[in-house]
Amino acid sequence: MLFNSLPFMVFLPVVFVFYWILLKKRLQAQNVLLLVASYVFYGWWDYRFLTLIAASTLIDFFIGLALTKKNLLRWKKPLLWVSIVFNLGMLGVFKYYNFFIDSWMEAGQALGFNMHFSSLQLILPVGISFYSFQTLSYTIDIYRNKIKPTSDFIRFAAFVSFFPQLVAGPIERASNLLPQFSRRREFNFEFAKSGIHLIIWGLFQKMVIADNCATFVNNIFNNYENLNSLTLALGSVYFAFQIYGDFAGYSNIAIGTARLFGFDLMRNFNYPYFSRDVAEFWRRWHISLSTWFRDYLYIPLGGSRGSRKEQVRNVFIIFLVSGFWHGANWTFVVWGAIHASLFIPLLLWRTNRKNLNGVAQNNLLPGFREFLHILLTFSVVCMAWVFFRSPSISSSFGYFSSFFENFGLSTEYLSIGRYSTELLLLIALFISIEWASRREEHPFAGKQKFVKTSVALLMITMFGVFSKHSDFIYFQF
Amino acid sequence: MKRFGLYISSILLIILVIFYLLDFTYTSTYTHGMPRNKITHLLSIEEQPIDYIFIGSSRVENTIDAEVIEEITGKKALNLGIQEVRLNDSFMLLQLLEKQSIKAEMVFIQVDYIYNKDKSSGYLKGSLMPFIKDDHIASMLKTRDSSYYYLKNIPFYRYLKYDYKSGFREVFNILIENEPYINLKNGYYPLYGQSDAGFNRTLPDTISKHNKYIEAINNFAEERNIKIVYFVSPFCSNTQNLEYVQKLKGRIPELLDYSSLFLDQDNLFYDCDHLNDQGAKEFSEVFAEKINSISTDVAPKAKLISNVQ
Repeated sequence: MLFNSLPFMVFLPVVFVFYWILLKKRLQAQNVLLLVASYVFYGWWDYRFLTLIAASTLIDFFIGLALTKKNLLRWKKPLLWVSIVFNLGMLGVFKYYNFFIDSWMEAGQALGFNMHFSSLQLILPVGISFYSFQTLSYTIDIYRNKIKPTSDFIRFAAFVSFFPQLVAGPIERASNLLPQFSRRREFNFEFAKSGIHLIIWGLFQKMVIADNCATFVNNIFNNYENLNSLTLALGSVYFAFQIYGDFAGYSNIAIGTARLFGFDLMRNFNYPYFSRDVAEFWRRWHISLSTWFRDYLYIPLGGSRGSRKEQVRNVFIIFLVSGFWHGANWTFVVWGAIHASLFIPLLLWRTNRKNLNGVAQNNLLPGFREFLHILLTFSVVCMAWVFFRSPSISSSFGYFSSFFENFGLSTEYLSIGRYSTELLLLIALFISIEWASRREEHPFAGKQKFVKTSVALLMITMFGVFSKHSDFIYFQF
Repeated sequence: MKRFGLYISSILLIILVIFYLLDFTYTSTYTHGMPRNKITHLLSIEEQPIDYIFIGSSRVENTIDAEVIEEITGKKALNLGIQEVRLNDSFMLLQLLEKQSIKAEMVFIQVDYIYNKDKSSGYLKGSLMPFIKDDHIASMLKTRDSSYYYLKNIPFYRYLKYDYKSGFREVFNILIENEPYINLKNGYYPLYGQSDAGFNRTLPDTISKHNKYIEAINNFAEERNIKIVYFVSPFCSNTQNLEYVQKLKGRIPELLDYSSLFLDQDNLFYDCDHLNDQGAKEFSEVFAEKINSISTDVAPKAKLISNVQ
């Protein structure tokens, strides 16, 4: 079920009414309702894959309990490995099996071996990369004695499948979300209202920014050989805003929806395109994933301790794995490698934590130097996005080579019947709104909330894409 | 909770007001603004004598140069080709011509692989959305869109569902009087050079037994004494299953078949389905000569399409 779809517009109020009015003050019944609603939400897309969520829930629930049993202490490590192997195994089969088979065959053929392996016609279950990481963090945290396991299966199952963040995050930690299923939830008007604001802002990001950009991006990336430098540069900028609007939009709708039910999810984006270097970008972009990798991969590897060589190795590993998490394609690995290459100099010069304060904190506009840093960071991020968006490495390089070969700065008329520069005004408006609200969680904070909300609704109605809306990009990851 | 209920109600009220206001603004703009597409152009003219009208998809819009037809035949011609149009839509266009009391001596309807498709395209319906409250247009859309009642009765829904055709961009262009990319007076939209998208087209292996809109068009034309001529526009050399056209002739024996006219001249094509400007001009010449020969066979008097339902 998509957040910006008619079924969800019916589903959400129905669940809300049952939750707060019929099941008021009955915590366990509310949790059961959330569990059922979450399975309906997911099953709406493909009910067969509910078995995977159920299996992951069952295994991690019992492993979680077993990890603290005194008589099973010597099995602690093997039990953790069962959880890791099961969750990553699911990912491996559904997401990476065909990639490894194809890569293996290509490598074999390049070396002159004739290899035959069958690839499988597998559908990637939506959200598998998100909920498998979420359940994994539960067992790892119990293993590390950071949290205690829950003995309430309904609460745990509702935590794993919580519908607002089930298919595209934020990837929640058990330490933050699970206790919320145990606490009695009181309806809080201001909290719920902030949820509505986040939903409206998320819809704006998705339907006005991401979906409008998508039309241009698809056309430009499919025809890059015939387009000039300006159009190709715009293609990567539009994609930058498409993926941001799409993913941040989804996250905001998810966080907002969770607030309607009294849950507080972690923030996933913090105006990433105002970052002054790549390290800051990664503190502001997909925060739930980057902190997940930090806590469960980077720090166990040694993090920023150890020799310079080890630090560089750790950074490379975390970025390559992060790239690979996004999809089974070398393009994502290269994307990760580019970010690693941009991050490592900052680490070596010890400037990776330089920009911890807000951008232009006490000023209306950034200083010239600050502006240049933002522009430079945005430019390199856009260049890396070309690899992320391209279907193959060769087409990524083709995109860059067309940029130089077809050098030209004129506005082009695209085959979708649109001028290449048409979206710039909308993008400029979006940047202005974000800049003005960069110190807040969302643009509706502060004064004149109702006026701002009304204007946003008007803009969604006028500029939003309703007829040919695209699925959320991060569903595929 | 009560406060929240009031808050949600106020949001819903705002949405409703926005829908009403925008519906009114968009509809007024379409009704009173300059025509920017073939449908609004058609609805802005009435009782005009046009001798030859060409109906079909982009394989008409980019293929028939009405000026060339006019030069050779000495008669007035209009290219009413619209992207994605199918036979269902062609029938709708005939009904629109009748609504506008537009006279035509002959109507040429393009048919090819679209014979296998019964449904109407969204493109034409999208252009008609601003006029859905017109009784005549409503009767045309009623059977063609399953969400017709919602489109007609929920304010602004019609513009949301078909926003790519009748949304903000189009309204804005009308308001600033931005000229359309097509010369609406003759309706021909030339394509220049050749596309890099590749030259290939695979026609269907099989042909539908029946397309109910051929029958509907024929009955409609017969009742109103309109001469209908079906034709197939040229395809490029790399067209697979060209024998499909022979099967089509089995269904429409009087079909004018130009599918193989330029089979050895790919330089006249923009892509496999569409001629470029040079090709369109050459094809229009050939077509015009054929029209002259048909006109001498057929009684050359113009026929008025009456305003009969």
